[in-house]
Amino acid sequence: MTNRPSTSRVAGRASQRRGFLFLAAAMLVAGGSYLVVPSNAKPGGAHTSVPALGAPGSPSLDAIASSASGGLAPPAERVAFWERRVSAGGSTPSYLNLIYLADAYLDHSRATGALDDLKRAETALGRAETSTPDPKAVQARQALVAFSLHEWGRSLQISGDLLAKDPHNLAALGVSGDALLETGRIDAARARYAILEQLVPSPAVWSRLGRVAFLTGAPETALRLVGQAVSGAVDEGYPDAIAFYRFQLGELDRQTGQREQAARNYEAALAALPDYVPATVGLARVREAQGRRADAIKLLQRAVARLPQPETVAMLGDLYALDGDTLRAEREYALVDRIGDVARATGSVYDRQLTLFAADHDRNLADAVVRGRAELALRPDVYGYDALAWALFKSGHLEEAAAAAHSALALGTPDPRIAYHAGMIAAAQGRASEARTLLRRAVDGAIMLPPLQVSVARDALAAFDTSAAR
Amino acid sequence: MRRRHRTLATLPLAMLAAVVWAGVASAHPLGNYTVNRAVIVRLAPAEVALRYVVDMAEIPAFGELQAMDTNADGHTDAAEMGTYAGATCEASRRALTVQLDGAAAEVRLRATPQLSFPAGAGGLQTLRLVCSFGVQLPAGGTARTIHVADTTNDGHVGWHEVIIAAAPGVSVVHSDAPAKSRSEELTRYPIDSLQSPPDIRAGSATFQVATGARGSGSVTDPAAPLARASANDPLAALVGGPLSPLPVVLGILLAAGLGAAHAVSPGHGKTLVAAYLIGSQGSRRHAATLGLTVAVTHTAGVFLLGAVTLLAGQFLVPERVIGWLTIGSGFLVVLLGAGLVLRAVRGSRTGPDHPHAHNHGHDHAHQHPHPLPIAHAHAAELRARNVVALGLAGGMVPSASALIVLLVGITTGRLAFGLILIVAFGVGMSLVLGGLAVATTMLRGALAASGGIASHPIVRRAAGLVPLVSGIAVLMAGLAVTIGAISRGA
Repeated sequence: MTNRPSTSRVAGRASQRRGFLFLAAAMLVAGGSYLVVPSNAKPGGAHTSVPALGAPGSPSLDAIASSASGGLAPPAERVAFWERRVSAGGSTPSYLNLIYLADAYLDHSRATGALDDLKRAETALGRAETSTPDPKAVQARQALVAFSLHEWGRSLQISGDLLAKDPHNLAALGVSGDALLETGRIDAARARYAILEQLVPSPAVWSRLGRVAFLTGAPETALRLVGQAVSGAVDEGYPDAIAFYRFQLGELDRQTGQREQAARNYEAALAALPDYVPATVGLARVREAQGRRADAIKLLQRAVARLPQPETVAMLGDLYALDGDTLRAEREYALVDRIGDVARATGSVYDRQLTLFAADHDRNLADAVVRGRAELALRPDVYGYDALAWALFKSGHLEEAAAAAHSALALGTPDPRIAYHAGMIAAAQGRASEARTLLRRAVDGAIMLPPLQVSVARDALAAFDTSAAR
Repeated sequence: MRRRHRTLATLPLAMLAAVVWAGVASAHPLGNYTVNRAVIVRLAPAEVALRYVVDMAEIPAFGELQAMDTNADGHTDAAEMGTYAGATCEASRRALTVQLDGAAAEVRLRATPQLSFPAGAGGLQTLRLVCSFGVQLPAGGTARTIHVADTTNDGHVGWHEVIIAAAPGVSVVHSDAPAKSRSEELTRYPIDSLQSPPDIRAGSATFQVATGARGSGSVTDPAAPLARASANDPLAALVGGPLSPLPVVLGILLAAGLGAAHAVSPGHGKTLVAAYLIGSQGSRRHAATLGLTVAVTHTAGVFLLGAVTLLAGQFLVPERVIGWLTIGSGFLVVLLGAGLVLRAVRGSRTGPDHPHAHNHGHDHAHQHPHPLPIAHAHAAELRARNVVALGLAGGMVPSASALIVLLVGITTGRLAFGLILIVAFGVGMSLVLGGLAVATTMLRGALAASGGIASHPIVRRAAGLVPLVSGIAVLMAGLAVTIGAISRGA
C-alpha cells in the first residue's frame, strides 16, 4: 500500500491527461445514448418502441411486454401471448397481465373489426379493476372500449374524470379528443390534440391532426401529417399501426385524386397486415376506378367474407349490377337490409352506412330518415349531416335536406361524396352555379362515390353543361 | 410511459375504426358474421368417424339461404336444402385431409347430412350443418398415427377446433388435440372467459387398438402443449424451444452475447463513466471487480424480480420494482458523483492548481506532500468501494430480456436452463464492462508511453480539471437516471 501513492503519482499525471480524452469520449458516448433514446419528459421522436430495452434507467415492463409478446407481432399473436400469461396466473392473474391483454384485445378488434374482442377487453379490465394499484390505467382503457363501441357519452365521461385528476393523461386526452371529434366538436377535439402534440409529437397525434386538417378543408396539410405518421409508424414497427396509417394515407390519396399512390398505400397496408379489411376495400375502390372490375369484385368478396359491413356489401352489389348480374346484386342488397335488421335487433341503430345505402338505392327511405336523424342526434358531425341530407333529399324533403347539406359543408371538408349529395340538392333547388361547382367536384372525385352513383353525378353535371350550351 | 405511448399510438386506430366498423353488433355470440367449424374425430377399433360441424351466424347464413334458393322463389324447400347440404358436405369432405400412419386415407360420406336453422337475432336464422364422414382403419400394427386437417379457406373468421377422442377398444397414447369440445360442438361458446376463439384446424394423435377384446380404451389426457415462447426474443425462443446439446451451447453463447450487447446499449452511460474512472486511476483488479459485481448484481436482480413477478405480483408490481431499482441505481451514481465532485473541489482548495502542479512535477510537488498521498490513499480506499458501488448501479436494473428468459423458463418448466442462461447473460455483460475497463487501463499505458497530443499544453491544462469534470459527469448521469425514473414512476 505504501508504494501505491508514488506510482499513482507518476501514473496520475499522464492518466489525467489521457483521462481527459477518455472522459470526453465517454461523455460523448454516454450523452449520445441519452439523446438517441428519448427521455420521459420528451418522448416524441420516431424511435420510441424499438430501443426500449436499452433505454436509460428502467427497461419498463412495456419493453418486456412488447419483446416477450412480440410487441411487433400482429395483434392475434399478442392476444394469444397475453391470454397464456393470464391463464398461467390461475384464479388471480396479475392486473398488469390483464391490462396488457385488454390492450391486445383492443388492438385485435381494431385490426379485424371483431366486437367480441371489445367484450373480452371489458371483462379483462373489470378483473384488473379489482386488483390494480393504478386505476387510471384501467379507466383510460375503459374509455377506449366505450369509444370503440360508439358509446361517445360514456367514453367522454370516463376520460373527462380521468383528465380532471390528471390533465396530462395521454390516453385520456387522445380518447376524449376522438370522442369530441366524432360528435362534431371539432375545436374542442383540436385543443386536446394540440396538448397531445406538445406532450408526445408522435404518429398517433399526427394522424389525428391530419384527420382534423382534412375535415376542415386542408387536404395538403392532412397528407403531410399522415405521411409523417406513416414514417413514424414504420420506424416503430407495429404492423397494425403501419397498416392503419397506410390505410389513412391511402384514403387521403384517393380523396385527392392520386389513385396510383392510393393503391400503393393500400398494398403497403396489406403487406403489413394481410386481410386488413379497410385497406382491402380501399384497394377494391381503386381497382374499380382503374377499370379492373374483376379484381375489385374479388377483393370485395374477400373483405365481405371477413367483415360484412353494409357499405362494402352494397358496393359489391353495385359492381355486380354494373356487370349486369342483377340477381347477385339484389342478393347483396338484401343482405345489407338483413344486416340492418340484426343491427336494429342488437341495439346498434346508429349506422350512417345503412342510411346512405338506403338513400343511394331508394330502399326504405322513411326508415332511412328516421335512422339518419337518430344517428345525427348521437353523432352530430359533418358526415352525420351529410347522410341525413341525402336521405331527406331522396325522400322529398328538399328544404330540410338543403339545411343539412349546408351543415355538412360547413367545415369545408373536401369529400366528393358530400359534394355529390349537396350538389344534387342544390340542383333540385335550382341553385345552378353552386350545383355545377359541387357536381364538378363530385365527378372529379368519382373514385370516392359508390359505383352506381358515378353515372348519376355525371348525368346531373352533363345536364347543366348542355343547358348552358343551349 | 412507453406503454402509455403504445396505447396512444393505437388510439387513432380506434378513431377511424369507429368510422369504419360502424355498428355491427353481435347477435351470434361470436359476432353475427362468423363461420365456425369443428372436426370431431372418434377413433374406433375398425373405423375413424369424423363429424364435421359448421355453424354460421346470421349474416353468412342469410347469404347461404339466398344461394340455396336456386329457383329464386324466395324460400328454400326441402329439395333445395338437400342439394345444398349434400354439395356443402362434399366440399368439406374434399377439404378434409386424413393421414393414417403417414399415408393419405380416403374420407367417405357416412350418413345423410343434417341441416338446421336455429333462430338468431333480428328475426334471422343461423345455420348448422353436420356432415358425417368415415375412414376405414386397415389392419396394421398396434401403434397407429392419425393426422387430420381441415383445409377449408373461405376467408370467414370464426371458431375452429379439432377434437380427437377414442371409442372403447382404442386408447390414445398421445394427442395434440383435446378430447372434448370447448364449445360443445359449436353449440355453446364460452365468451365470458378471457380466451379468444381457437383457430385450430389440424390435429394429430398416436393411438393403440386393443387386440381382440374391447378394452376400456379411455383417452389419456393429451399432453398440454408447451407454452410457445415468443418468436421475437431469441433467448426466450431458445428456452421455449426443443432442447438438445447444440441449442443449449448456442443458447449459452447467445445469452452471453446478448448480455454483452446489453452492456454497450444506451443507458449504460453510467457504466462507461465507471469504466473511465477505473481506466484512469484503477487497476485491472478493479476492472475485474467491476465486471464481477455487475454480473452478480444483475443475476441476483433478475432472480429477485422474477420471484417478485411470480410470487408477489399481486402486491408488488414488477414495473414499480424496476422503477425503484432504477431510482436506487441512479441515486447510487449521484452519491458517487457528488463524492467525486466534493473531493475534486477539496483537492483544488488544498493548493492552487494542485493537479496542474503535478503535471509540471518538480517545483510544487514537494510543497504539499501531505494532502497528496492522503488524498490518493483515500481515493484508493474509496475506489474499491466505489467500484463495487458502480458495479451495483450498473447491474442493479435487470435487463428485460433476461427477465423474459427466466419467466419463459419457469412457464415451460425449464427453470434450470433459464437460470444458466441468465448467468451467461450476466457474464457477457461483465466481460464487456470489465473488458472495457481493462482496455482502458492498457490504452492508458500505451498513450503514456507515446506522449502524443496528450502532452499538448491545452490538453494538459484541461486534464487538470479531470476529477472535477468526471465527478460532474457522473453526478449528471446519476441525476438523469434518477429524475427519469422518478418522473416515470410518478
